Amino acid sequence: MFIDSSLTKTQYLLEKGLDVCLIRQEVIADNIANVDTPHFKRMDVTFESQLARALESEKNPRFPVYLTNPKHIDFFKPLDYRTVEPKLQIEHDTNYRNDKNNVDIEKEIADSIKNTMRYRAMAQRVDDNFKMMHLALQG
Amino acid sequence: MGMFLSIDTSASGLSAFRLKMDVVANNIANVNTTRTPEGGPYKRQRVVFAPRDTKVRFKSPFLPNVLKPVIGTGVRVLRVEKDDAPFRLVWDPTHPDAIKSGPKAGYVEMPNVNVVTEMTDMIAISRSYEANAMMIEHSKSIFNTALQIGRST
Repeated sequence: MFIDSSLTKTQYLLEKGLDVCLIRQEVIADNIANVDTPHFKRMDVTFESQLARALESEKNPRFPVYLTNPKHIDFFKPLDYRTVEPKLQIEHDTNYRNDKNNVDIEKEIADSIKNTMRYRAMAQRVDDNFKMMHLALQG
Repeated sequence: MGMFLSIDTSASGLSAFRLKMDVVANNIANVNTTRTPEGGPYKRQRVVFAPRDTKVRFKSPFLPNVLKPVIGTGVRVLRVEKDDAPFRLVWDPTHPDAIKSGPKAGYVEMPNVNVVTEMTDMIAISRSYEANAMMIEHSKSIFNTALQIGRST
């Protein structure tokens, strides 16, 4: 009962989000350290958009399909949010300077600040979650 | 390594840019050096950077897991190389290192260091250094936030 509660799902999503924030911080740190390296291409982490898609897909089964045979293929297959993993992507197709480096230091710093704030917000929510559990356990 | 990887990454950037700044300082200090142990005027030095991880990064999005991109771990200095640009010629026949004969007689070969280039490099380096230092601050703030989870219950 407790395992499948919405509190646990929130907890899972927040923990995953915190992990991804840490990975993104490492990626931004690497981009900034290589700001002056010729031929270096910046890296990016994609996670939130895929997670949003997975959560959206389990919310509304848009078009109920009548299946008469187990081999029939459903139009709409919900994605499991637990299978969404952060993906590292290298931005190969842009050039920011003559030495083929494409790190924009201002953008990276802005990303880092956003990332830090997001981490703080999510840590706050984890804390609130624990408070709620604590309250429930106290009765 | 591990948990504090981002701090190590930024630290590699800090030491690389520090070294680059040292080289720029050396270039400026030797802007008028006409005599070196290997003969001839001082040659401008410059630093070559490379990513710390030597793993090849492929462009294809369809890769097996072993070839997928991994998070880089910062920057390293490959070598300090000498700039082979031509020397500046200054007319000064009384200089002890002036060229004695030939079509350039009376000229002194001065180092190929341009102070303006070095100064602009210096500004760019200090900005990059600051950016790396700022990244350490941000990472620190993240770890501090993580330590606060569950404190208030």
